Amino acid sequence: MTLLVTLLLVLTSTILVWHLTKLKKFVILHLLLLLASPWLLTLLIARPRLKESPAVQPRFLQISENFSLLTSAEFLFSSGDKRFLYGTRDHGVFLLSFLPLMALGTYHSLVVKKSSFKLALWWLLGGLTVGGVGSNVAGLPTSLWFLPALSVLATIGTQKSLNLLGAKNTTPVTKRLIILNFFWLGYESIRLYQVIIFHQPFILK
Amino acid sequence: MTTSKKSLWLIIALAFFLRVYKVAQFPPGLYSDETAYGYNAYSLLKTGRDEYGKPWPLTFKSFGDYKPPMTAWLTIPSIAVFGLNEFAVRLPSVIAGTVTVAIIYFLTKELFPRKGLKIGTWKLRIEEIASFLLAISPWHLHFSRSSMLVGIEAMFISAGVLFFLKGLKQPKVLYLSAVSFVAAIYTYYGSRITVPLLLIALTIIFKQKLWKMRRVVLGSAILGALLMSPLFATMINDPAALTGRAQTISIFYDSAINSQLWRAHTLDGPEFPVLISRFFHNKAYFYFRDFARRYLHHFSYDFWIRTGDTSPPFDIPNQGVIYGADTFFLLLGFYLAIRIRSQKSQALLAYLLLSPVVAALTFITPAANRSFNLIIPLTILVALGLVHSFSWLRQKMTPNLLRHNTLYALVILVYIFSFTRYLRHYYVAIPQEIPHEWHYGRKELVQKVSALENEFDHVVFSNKEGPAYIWLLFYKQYPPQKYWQTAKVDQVLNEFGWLHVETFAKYIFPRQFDWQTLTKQPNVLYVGYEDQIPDDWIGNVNDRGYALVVDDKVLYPNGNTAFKLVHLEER
Repeated sequence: MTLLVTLLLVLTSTILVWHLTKLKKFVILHLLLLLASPWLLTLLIARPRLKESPAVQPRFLQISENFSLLTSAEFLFSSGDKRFLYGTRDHGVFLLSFLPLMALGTYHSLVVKKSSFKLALWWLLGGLTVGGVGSNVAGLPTSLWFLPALSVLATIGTQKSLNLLGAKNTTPVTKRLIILNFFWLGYESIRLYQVIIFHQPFILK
Repeated sequence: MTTSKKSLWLIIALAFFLRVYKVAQFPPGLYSDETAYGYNAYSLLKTGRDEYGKPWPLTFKSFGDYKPPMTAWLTIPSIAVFGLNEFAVRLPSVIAGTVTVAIIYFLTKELFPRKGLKIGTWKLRIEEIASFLLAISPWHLHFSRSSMLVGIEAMFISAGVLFFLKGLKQPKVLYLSAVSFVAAIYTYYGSRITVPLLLIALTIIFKQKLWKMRRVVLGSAILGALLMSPLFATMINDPAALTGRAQTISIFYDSAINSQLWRAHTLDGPEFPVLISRFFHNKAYFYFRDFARRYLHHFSYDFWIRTGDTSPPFDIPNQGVIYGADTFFLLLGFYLAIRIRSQKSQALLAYLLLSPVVAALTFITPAANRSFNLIIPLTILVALGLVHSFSWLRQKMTPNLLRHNTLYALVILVYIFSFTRYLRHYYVAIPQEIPHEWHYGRKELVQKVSALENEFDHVVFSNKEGPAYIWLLFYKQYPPQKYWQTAKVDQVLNEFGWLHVETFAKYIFPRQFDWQTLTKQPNVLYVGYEDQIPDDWIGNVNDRGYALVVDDKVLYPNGNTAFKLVHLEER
């Protein structure tokens, strides 16, 4: 079941990237970014149960708490879902180096006139609403409603970063910052695999 | 008087009223830091020396936290006029808060001139909206109604930014900017990081304009350096004055990162190459990640809307630092500020993004006090988002005036609801639920001790929740000279950076106030929190039987006992 949902999410987000860019290299880039995403690796390796937990709080308080967790930097970039098998506990659902890419992707999607670029944003907003309102306890399973949308935005951000690197009117400082972020992304990605392979966070010790 | 001037004065009047109304009673009690500033200002007024007898210090040793001086200086005239009381201590913050409302008016006008929206025949300018929103801001009200440094710091920094922007057109105004920024540094330790960062950002953004007026820029820099020189001299003589308590609250002092590193290296195992382990798990990466996490706390749903800052005394139960209604307009304003791409909007974004840096360097986050400068750019962005969304709606929805006005009414109603809800939380929930966070009951306690103390040889106080000596000095208006003569202070700072006043006059303050282990004597009045002293106690002192007698109690507004005053009586 978990594997099926994972494949569905990867497929949907990849189709969206293809629809937006029409270039194979960005589809590959998207897949590479997905493989550097703790949320996807958790689903693939640990295969946690995605079934809903029973409600523990009155509805309104729960909704507020859900939004609090799902939008927190702690969950997204720092510690993720702290339950065993639901995350590495060393990373958020994304690596911190994804943040500038997502910000750039979001900005680009908002600014660009092409309406298809708004799809990822609508997916993000819709997924966040469904995840926040429609679940009993927020965590990795709930966030799957919108995490692929953030991955798509990160891909758009990466595409934009590469464009900026190639552009003549980009300032040297911006270029250096972009390169620095790519190095950082590379470092964090290798580190993610080191933690998964050697710390074995998905094996009960 | 023009309409805009009238509206500004009305907003200032509203801001002053909301800040001064029952300021001595709400927040309930006088927090230890406020009390310390009040007494040090009183001591300066009476003797020209602080509580340690140091003449006009540029850093107040106080509890060992080396407080910056500006707040004490500003409190002196207030105490001279109104006496040593809660109102006098909080008045400078009230005034600073009100002045900041006026500053944000002119700052917004400077940043986004001629922006506004029309409601019927009434034109509402963006600066009016921004200053009104700041006047009713829960975050700004909280820090304008207590003597917490950052309210005054925010005034100086916002004035510094305003004068800087004005100085680009009238160069001589840059001197005022330098004075304001230096004043901020004299007010709060955080400014020693915020101000240089802000100046670097502003210099990069406006480098071409500044180059054209380089003589005035140099003059302002020299003026700033001259004004800072006494502080530099103090820092050289006493290095503790450089950082104050900052070193004990910084992320580098916290042991959490070291524990995480140790755990990561342990999980790598003894066989794993040490160098590679260090490459993946090193201090630089862990500290940077921790800094980023703490920085982002200040842009979270929890901090903004759901809970705010939950650490005492900055907590308003169930209240974020901004209103829920602000969120949409804030996000829109942020987007617009990026899109506008003017140098001024870049300056605003730099102001926004640099404000929480200081807070992110400490291990208690989100911190409403250390990130307080955020309130200025946040409010301006909310106003920008509000003006734009209504202008857009106006274009889309005309000529349907009814629907248009309904939307205005709806937004106004949401703000009225949010504001009333905040007032309830502030004036009802804080006194009923968390009065201890504001050290409620100390005034009554000192009065009751004063009434009883003549019957006893000594009075032993608990230091739980704050150093008790400072409230005795404050509420008794204890002559500073007498305090210097009798005070015994242990100068060794504890792990949290506090020193310990052991005794003065007949008052004793043990480091540990544990009733079981406390040395008990007859003819001593014991004063402690309700949970520190039992209701009944029978025991022997010097081979004679004694029983505990409760002389009096101090109650919280909700009727629970705060303090007990007890002594031993022979059976």
